[in-house]
Amino acid sequence: MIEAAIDDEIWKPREQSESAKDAVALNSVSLRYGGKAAGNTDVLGAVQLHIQEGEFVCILGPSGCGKTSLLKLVAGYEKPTEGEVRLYNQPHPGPNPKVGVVFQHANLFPWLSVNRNVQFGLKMLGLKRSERNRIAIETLGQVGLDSAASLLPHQLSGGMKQRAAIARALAANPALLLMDEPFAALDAITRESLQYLLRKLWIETGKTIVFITHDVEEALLLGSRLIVMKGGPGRIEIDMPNSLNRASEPFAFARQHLRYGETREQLLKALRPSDQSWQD
Amino acid sequence: MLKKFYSTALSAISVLFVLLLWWLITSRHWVNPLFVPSPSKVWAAFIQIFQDGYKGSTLLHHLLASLFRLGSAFALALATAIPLGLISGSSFVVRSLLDPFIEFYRPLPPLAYYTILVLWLGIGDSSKIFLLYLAAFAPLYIAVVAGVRRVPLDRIHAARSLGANRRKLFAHILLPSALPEIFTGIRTAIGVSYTTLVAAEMVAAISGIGWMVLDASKFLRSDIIFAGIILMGLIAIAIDSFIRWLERRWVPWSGKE
Repeated sequence: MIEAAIDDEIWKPREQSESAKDAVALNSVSLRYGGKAAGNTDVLGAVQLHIQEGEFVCILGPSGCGKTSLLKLVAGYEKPTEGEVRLYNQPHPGPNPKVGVVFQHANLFPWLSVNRNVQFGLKMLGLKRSERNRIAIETLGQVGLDSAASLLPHQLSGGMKQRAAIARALAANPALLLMDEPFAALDAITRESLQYLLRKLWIETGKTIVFITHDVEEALLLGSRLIVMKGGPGRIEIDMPNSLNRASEPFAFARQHLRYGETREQLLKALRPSDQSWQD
Repeated sequence: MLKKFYSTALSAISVLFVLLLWWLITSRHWVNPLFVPSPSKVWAAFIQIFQDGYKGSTLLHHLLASLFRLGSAFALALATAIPLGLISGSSFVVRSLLDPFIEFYRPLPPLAYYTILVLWLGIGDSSKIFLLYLAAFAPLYIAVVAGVRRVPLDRIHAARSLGANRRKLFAHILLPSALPEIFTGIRTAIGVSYTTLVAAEMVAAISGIGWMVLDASKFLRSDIIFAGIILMGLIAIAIDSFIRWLERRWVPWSGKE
């Protein structure tokens, strides 16, 4: 029965067509640090990418392939050298609270308590103190950090820091959440609990999430769509829906699926450097 | 905790030992009392200036005169060096415009230009305060600039993604981020302006703890010189402890990011 549910076309590349429901659109975007001058090499070369609302896009790629640069373009921290980045069918307005970002290191403000960190975006929006506090407490509850609200960031464990960082991004109610290898530095058990949390939040809130990782299994468990990037210059190698990921099913569904091992191997193969021979 | 206790105990023993040595040297008349007055004589001089004052003013008056000069200079330095440092730290244009002047005057000995300040501002408190202000400004400004430049780019990115505009970045991100460096700058600045205090009170002053010591040296009153110096040192330690206490309260996260 499970077999029948999987379409055999998972390896067929997605069509990159413009759609009214696009949350993110990259039209022939290239990025070159230091401008167009000769000698500066392309970090990204003519990337075409459309992300629809509600998708959970996992971007995989070896280090240096330009995946973080791509995220910086979507966040608005970098401007494309050529091409255009559009958000919700508008030109990118620069960093703004509609686009939340979670970094690899939690990047909390060390002088603010966890609660105040979560309130930061709301304070910038000019919300009243009581309202800010209500939303912060609610969001901290969502990520399971109620009891740590008054602690300072340096008093938290790595996993708690990332929970707080996620809460801080969520509290400002972004439509789009960008995450740059947020769980890479965590131990396996903590990482899995945060993966559960993120999946739950994605299902509950229906937010569009762009999630960068170098962990194939993480991408298979979390993403509704998988993208593999290659470097020199950065480009999209594979772009496919992840049929192993069902919102209604637990992680075990994907892990125990007949296709899991095969898909994992295919992704790993795509990630390996092409100029080296690999032996099993 | 135990290490801290041992450290304090060792320091106390060391101080007691030096005091004992001082008492021994003077009570056995190994040196001329003019060079090193005995502890009891210094204590007597202290009691005398405490009760009768020095040259027409009470000791408290001298102390307050000095602390007023230091305090006003320092308040002025805080009010100017912190905003300027925040701007310079985030704008290389402003930094490039200001740097040559600060780098030029910073290493100059204060006495070299003090006469000019007196000519400009008169012999009252304003020239003294301005001299102390100049001494405090440079280290504070440099510390704030360094603090701002060390703010991780990701932190600024995170704040902007949470809706902070340029103006809010200054108050909500750059200033608190630079606080550890600002505190280091404050302690350096207080040290530098405190050493300049005696120089400032050398010209046309009739009050101040620095002036008292200088005046006493004209009459070779080494007991008063000793009492004044010890008092100055103790006040400096008290000020520094106060700043460090503030630092622990306000920047408990310093060095633990």
